[in-house]
Amino acid sequence: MSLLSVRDLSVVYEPRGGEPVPAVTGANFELQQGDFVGLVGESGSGKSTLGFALTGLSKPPARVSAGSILFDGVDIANLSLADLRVQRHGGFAMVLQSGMNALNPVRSIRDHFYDIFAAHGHVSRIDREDRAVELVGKVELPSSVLDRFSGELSGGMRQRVSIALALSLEPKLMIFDEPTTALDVLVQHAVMNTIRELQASERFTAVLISHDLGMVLEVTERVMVMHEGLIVEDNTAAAILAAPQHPYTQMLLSHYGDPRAEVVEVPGLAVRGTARAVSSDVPGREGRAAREAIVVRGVSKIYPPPRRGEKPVRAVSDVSFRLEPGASMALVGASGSGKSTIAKMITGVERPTSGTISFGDLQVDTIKRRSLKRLHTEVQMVFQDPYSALNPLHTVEYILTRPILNFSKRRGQDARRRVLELLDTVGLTPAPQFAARLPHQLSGGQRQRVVIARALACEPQVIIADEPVSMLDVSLRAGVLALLNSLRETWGVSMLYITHDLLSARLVTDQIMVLNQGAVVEEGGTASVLQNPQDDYTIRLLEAIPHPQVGR
Amino acid sequence: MRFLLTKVGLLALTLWAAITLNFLLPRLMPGSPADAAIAKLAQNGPVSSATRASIEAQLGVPTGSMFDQYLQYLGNVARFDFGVSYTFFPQSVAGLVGAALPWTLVLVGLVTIIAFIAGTLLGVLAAWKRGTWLDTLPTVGGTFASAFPYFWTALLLLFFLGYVAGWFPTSGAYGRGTSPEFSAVFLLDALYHSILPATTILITSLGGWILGMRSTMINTLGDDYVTFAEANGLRPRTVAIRYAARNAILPNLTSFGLALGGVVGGSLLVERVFNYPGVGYLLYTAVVNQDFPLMQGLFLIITISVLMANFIVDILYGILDPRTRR
Repeated sequence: MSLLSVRDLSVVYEPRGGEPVPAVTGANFELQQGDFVGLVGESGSGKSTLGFALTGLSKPPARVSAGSILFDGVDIANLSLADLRVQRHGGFAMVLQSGMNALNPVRSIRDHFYDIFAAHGHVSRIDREDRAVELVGKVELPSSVLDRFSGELSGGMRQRVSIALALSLEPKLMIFDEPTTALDVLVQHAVMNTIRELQASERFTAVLISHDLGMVLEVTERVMVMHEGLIVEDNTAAAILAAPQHPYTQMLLSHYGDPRAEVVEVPGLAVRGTARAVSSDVPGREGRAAREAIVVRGVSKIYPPPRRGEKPVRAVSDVSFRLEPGASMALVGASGSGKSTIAKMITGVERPTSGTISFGDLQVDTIKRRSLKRLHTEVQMVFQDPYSALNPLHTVEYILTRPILNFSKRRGQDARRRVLELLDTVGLTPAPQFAARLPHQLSGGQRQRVVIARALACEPQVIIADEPVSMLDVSLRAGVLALLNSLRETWGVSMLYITHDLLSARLVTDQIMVLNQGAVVEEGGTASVLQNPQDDYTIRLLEAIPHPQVGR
Repeated sequence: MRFLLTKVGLLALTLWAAITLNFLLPRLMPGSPADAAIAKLAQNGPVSSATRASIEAQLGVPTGSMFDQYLQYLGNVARFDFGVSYTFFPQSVAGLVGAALPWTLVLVGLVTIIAFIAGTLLGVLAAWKRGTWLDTLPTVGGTFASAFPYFWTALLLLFFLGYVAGWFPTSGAYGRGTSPEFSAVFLLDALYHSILPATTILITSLGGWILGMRSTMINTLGDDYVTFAEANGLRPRTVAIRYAARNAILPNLTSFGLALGGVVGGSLLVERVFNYPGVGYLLYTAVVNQDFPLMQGLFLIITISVLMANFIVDILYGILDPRTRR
């Protein structure tokens, strides 16, 4: 008998007084003891909803509307809450997406373990401490973390603690819902390795829910692909990699590329082999093509110590570069490498501790409030999170009108024409329809286009894009990247592209700088640096990228 | 330990600042109380130098440099010597405040604490049983009750329960036949007298605590650590209390600190309506009679009580939230 048998399972969202919306429709599959299965889909595909249903965590407005989930022969879809709770010991466990917040901030890690032991009574009082130490040891943490609170742990450590807590239930089935998404690239890699090793040694059945097909193909044996609530493909990882059957799987797979390859190609984006020279005869309209370079010389930024008795934080140390007019440069590194601090200093938000930054005749490092406006008409930011970069109370038209009124002399109908033109530029057509919408009525990709349109409103020479696609689904990324590319090629805008994602850096930039702990460890042409990395850190970053092929 | 020391140090510093301000402010005002009194008398005719001398002797005219005065003032404060009240001459300000303070602290202070605890518990229950009658009843009832102005509730209770029905005394803190002493008879009598004012405070403040706790609790119930606790099969009671409520109470502690601080200074209205011999009533009397020494003493007590309340809440915060301990 299989461990888990899901038959015709449907889950609907029933908002109060609203029409029910199907989230998962007719899911059918079986899992055997010891399986490691991936569940892949983009946001809204129903993969998390399915994961919650499998662990009996569906909460209103979500409701299992049909079908059964037989776990060890018991239908958990129709179990009372009290029975379900008892089942969790030796049954099914879940590691949540945002492991960062999965721990109670006011209880110590030890308390978390003791709470679980007390709830199920499977570890006697005298054995509690030893068992907790053993469990944190399994996720490669020292026993001293037991005395800590979640606020004192790093993101990777917190996620490890969550995994240890889930393990303490001695589960037969573990569901990992995007367990590494919120973590840093290198940490992601390490946590994923721990999960793999644990699965192999403890022999629990594991389901890995992720948006990242590359990672899932690398670590799991079997993959289920979900799209709009349906499982559209269910096959071994090798088979999916070799011959994806469903068009959706094919589309997802086509967006993967190796940034080290000779030629990197992604649908919707031009082939980028070796670096191209920026053509000098840009047909740009007047006032758009970049004329000035950003020159950063020996810049360091030291923040005062976060707490008394600690050392000052050296966020950026002695960084120098030149962003030529019309050029595109990538600034890559893990979080904490200082890349966003550099962006803040270039836009005048932060001042460097030492060194100089200039843009044309503007001395950015010592800029006065009055000149700041002039700087901002020329240098604009595109933010990482399109969901929080737009005020939810204002229409797109209002959002775009603000910078036009602030930075240009256009008023009234003229300003409105400009709004529509901007929406056209970023590919949101028909423009008048999009102008009237509120941010929540747009998808993530559309929102990011609005953010880009807003940055373009004052016709800047330079765009600083801080992880512009990291929050977007794979299928939407290509579109936004293509837009950034075309802005540069048609209008000659320069771009500083900040990211931890080497593939997208390869796709949209010609130059690259790799930052590690505030210092530049490697720089050069994007293609040549990625194909032939010299620094150990760059090599580790490249190795952390999931390589489906390598994993086989 | 270091957290505690920092907080105590901070308390000492703010206390000193408050006491110093209390010294400086009256001296920054033009004229002196003696001048004011003489000017008032002068409207009815010339003031003889003997009268002037006796008024100055009674109110006291500052001697020595500001610094000497300040040292003398600090010494007086340390000995709880705030001078003599005009209104209740020759009783000392310290004696008057000392007699009034217990009534306010016990009545308003205790009821504020009870309201906070009861409201928080009801709020937890309402959020945990969201959508059931356990949610609707306290939420709607609390909103309704706290929508009435403070004094209006007081007058309604006085009129119906005190005057019409005659179940409760309508004024004072104890009956005519008894006097403050530590006996069962007196304590029962005081308790009996405190029921109406206590109910008024409870009715008007309970709703706020219920609604505040309910909404923060609903927020924490949606937090990942609560979902994770459920996924780990913790008992519902553990999830509700140790995970959800324990975190939800933190933002409400700040409001609790403000409410506690407001106890001494904010009891004026209820004590006036019920003729209750507490600090609020005393302050009312002092203001009406322009009793400067009494006012100054009361202001200092009110400031100190706000500081002490904040100190207590800071310590509570430190115990309840490990993140603030650093």
